[in-house]
Amino acid sequence: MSKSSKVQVNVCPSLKPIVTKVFGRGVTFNIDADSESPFPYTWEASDKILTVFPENLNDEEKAGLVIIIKEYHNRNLLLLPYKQEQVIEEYIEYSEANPNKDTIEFFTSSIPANDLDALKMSLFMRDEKNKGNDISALKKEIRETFGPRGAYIANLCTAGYFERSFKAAKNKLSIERFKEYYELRVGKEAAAIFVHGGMTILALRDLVKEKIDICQLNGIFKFSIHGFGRANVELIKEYIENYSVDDLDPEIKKEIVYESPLPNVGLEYEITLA
Amino acid sequence: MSNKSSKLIFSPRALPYILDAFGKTISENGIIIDSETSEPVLTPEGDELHKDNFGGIKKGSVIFMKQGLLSAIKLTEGKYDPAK
Repeated sequence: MSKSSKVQVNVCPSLKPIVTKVFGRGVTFNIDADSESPFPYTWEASDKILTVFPENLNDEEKAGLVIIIKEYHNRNLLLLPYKQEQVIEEYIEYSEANPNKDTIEFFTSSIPANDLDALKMSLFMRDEKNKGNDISALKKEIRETFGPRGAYIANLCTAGYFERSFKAAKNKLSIERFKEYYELRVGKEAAAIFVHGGMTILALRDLVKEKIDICQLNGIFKFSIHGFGRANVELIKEYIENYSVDDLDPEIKKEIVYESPLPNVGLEYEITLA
Repeated sequence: MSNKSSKLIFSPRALPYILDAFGKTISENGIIIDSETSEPVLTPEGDELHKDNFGGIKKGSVIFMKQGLLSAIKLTEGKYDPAK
């Protein structure tokens, strides 16, 4: 006898209508304990959504629901909280459009695995930012998962360093030399300064001096100062106008390579060492 | 839309029903634990899971995922699949 797809789940009779629907192809089985409903379950035939309201089930039915959930998992199906379902849907949609596939492939195996994961997240985050979506939760997740290094990768990625600078370096350098190049710029944060909210002019001055030292010590000739948002852009301008003459040697060049107007105010100063 | 795959989704307060199906429960401080041993459930990355940070159960095996983008990436890339 051929394998039957007939569903046999041992639950109380009142749950049988649920069992007959829930294992159907393409059915979304929604368990909603947060909404008010007068019904134990509802069935939206057009979208194939079966919603069960467990708070409206009696104890026997609740026990039956747990059996159905277990059986659902046994049938190789995914169980997701609402919030995560949305994240996965968005990521699948993004992956199918594949805007950054080449960049990810390019750096696979040439940067540390955790950095690659941080980069994948950052590329997605950049895409969301470009669409005008709120990226604060993504930023927080990258920082919480990968620490300051991950946050720095996210900033570098947003500013386009992976495509603009690191790709060219990887094409030019040997594997070992690229590792050194990358570690200096990412691990030691020699690639750039990202001015953030709350940074004081004194902190920025110290950071610029520190960055110059790292660069000089390691034979790096330039780095950039980035700022996004009005306050950060103004802080950079204040530093350049009022302090850079005193702080920087005369042969150190500084020039604006990028400036964007309102509403997305942004500024990049390139600092070139002699 | 006709090709959509089957899935089970659930609201935050439905989590205990889901966990019950796998012999898990939520401790007093919100950590997901084994109902019998009270051992915390770990993600494939070795992290404990708070109920607010629970990202679902992978199909095919009892893998408890963390909420967030990284789990979504790993899931879609098949990183949580059993080693071939």
